[in-house]
Amino acid sequence: MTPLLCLQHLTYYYPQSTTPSLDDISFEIGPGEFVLLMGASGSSKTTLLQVIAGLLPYSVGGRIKGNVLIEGTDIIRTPQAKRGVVGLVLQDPESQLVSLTVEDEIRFGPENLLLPREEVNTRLEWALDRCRLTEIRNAFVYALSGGQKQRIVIAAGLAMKPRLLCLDGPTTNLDPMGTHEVMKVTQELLRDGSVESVIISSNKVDGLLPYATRIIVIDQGKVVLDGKPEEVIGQYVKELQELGLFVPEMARLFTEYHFSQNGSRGWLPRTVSDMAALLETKNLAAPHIAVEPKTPVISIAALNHVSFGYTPGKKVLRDISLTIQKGQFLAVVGQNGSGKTTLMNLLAGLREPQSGSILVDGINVRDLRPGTVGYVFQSPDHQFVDPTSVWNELAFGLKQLKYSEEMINQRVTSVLELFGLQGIKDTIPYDLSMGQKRFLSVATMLVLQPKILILDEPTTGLDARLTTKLMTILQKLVEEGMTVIQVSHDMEQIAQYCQRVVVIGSEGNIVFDDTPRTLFANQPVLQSTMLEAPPASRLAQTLWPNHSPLPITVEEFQLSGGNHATT
Amino acid sequence: MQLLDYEHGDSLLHRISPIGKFLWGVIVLLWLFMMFDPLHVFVLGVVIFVLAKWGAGLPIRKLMKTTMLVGIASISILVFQSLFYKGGTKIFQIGFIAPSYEGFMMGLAIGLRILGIVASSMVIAKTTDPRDIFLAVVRMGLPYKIAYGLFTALRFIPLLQHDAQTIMDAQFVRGIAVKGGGVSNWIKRFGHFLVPLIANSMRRGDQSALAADVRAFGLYPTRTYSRDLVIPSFEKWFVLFWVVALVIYVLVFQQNILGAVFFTHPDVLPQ
Repeated sequence: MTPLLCLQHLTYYYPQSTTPSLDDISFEIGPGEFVLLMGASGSSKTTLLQVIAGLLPYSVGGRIKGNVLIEGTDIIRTPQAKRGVVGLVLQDPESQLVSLTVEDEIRFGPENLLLPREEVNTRLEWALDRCRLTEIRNAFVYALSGGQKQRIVIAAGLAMKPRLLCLDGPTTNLDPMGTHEVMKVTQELLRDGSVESVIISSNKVDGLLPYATRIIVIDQGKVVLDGKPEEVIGQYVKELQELGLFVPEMARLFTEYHFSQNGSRGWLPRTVSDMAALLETKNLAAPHIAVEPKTPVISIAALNHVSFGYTPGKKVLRDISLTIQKGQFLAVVGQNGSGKTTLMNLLAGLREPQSGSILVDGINVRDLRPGTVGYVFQSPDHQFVDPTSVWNELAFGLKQLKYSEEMINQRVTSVLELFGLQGIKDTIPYDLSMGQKRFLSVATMLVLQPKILILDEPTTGLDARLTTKLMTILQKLVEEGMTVIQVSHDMEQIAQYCQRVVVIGSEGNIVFDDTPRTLFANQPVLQSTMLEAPPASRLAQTLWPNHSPLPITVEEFQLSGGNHATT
Repeated sequence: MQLLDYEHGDSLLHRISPIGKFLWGVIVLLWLFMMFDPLHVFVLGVVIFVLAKWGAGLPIRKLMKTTMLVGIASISILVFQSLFYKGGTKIFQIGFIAPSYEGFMMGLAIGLRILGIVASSMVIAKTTDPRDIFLAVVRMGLPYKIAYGLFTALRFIPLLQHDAQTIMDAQFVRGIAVKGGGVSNWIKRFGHFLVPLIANSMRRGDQSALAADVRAFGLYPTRTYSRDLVIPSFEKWFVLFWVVALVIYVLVFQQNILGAVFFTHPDVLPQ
């Protein structure tokens, strides 16, 4: 039987590149497979999906060797022959929406296929229904939330009736609720046969693992692991970590307790419930968690009864009062569209509150010297102003503030060393890798030595190695007295690094302000804001419901019982 | 964020196709530029507002509000024309300030003309579904790939607005003064602003092109259109009415045809 997808010794070079982005890749995908494509930042996951979808080398050129067969047809030589058989949803839904309304966006593909009008409308109704978009079918796409936009681009891909659906980082910018929505729809599509197979690439796979039937790991354009999740994640945790990948928390614990080496081979806990069921039989003692003593508080900033809205009569933030402490690592969380970024804009002096006041070190934030409050934007590209070199990019802010040449050299050298960017100081910022761009965007702020550093989703798109490196640097800065505030959806990272978490509710008000540990134990707040505690925290709550304080990270969990080799 | 001014509706102007409204707009534009008497321009402006209210169902107050924003620019034209019009009858004189009657009337006509253009453009924008514009230009013979490219540009306006705001914010926190500093600094700032804006736009454009490619855009010389461009039968009468009205205006007020028919100028009386 002809496989749906067959890659034979696929090698691809981007134009002007001498090193292959994809290097001798061979595998087949058949019906019913839900494949997770894992790989560190820059491992060529996106390139591989674009080749499979027939976009590369068709759209940008480059050299390609080997075969990509879709239903037995070579799409490298005849890229248009199987258009529509493979659907690809790219990472940024915003840039993929080419029409004005939801209906038009979904009709766009079938209309291009020259299908009869009746068939176009049948597909439209089907895709709207499958992705639960019927209620907003006439809405303008630009006015919708991130989760809704992601579902629209999936619906638009589905309307092509692809046999193979490829999703490139579909949950990267979504809150936990948006992630659940997208994964639920994808799983339903596979189950009811709407698509035959699915390939999803992602940095974080905790939430995807329950659905996966197969995992393919690529590194520097080569397939290094390929098999069932039980084989790949269950047996190669260390290797995956060495590749810089995030390993699901349950798999880490599973391996840590040596279950895989003690008769459980061929099985892997994919959910918290799976792991809890396994551990409940072991009678593990709850670990002793030493709660950090409260240190004297030195306030660095204060928001007093701040309210703000972009349009008259519609408040995004309501009556926000918040004291921010010196030398604290603070996380601001909430659903997509809750006003987190707006709050950070106000604190950086980018917007003026409609009521209330914001003081940093006792001075109105709008009157501060530039650089006192640093702000790292979600997209690093927004932050770059000097296209000539990394060095000039870093020196730019200091020159604006009229620092001496000597001081500029000293500070730029120092941040280059901090981020390990010395070797690329003459490179053009836009030519850097995703991770290097992120580091540079943080460095452009740190070079100004701000008192408060705000980061908007700083680890989006970064793999485990780069995330750890960035977070370790930030943690060190906090220890030295800098206040760091990050907007994030990543609860595992917050559990690991942040001392305090502020939750913005759907009404634009603060609904919680305390430690991450307290938040993860507060079910009413989590439920009302549709947030979710990290897996290790949920596992601890399942195992020891009456114990307090409970572990919230894998590292804390590992203190439990000292019972590592029990099976 | 408001992308376009279009508002759903079923009014007379909503039902007229973009082609009909485009022709109407051209007629109004021609008419406005033919008039030099502010009273005439004012009357045509009133007619546009009447059409906006009863022909398009638009609230006059809202229309006035937007039009008046441009009105501020019109006032400056009025003042400029009054003060710097060469020759003419002085209205008054205070020192070197001596506005002229002819300049004032010219400024008033130009100002009202601008308001008329804005008002008629708003009527078109608020009653024309952008998707119909796409269909209309394809019907007029523009290849659909080019038409869709132009149409997608509309979709990118709010994204570019968002990017531009973010870049300005990023520059503010990096110490670039957003205001002041003279022309040379403004040019420098603009350069720093353009680099990231272009880089982001190119990235978005690439993504958009890939997303269209994967959905078979351009696969065939033509495509299916799920939406019809409806041209109502009364549309030609609507356009014809305005053409006739313009012709009558020109004949009556500029060629003075009524004067020629009913009155004889003293200069041509037989001696």
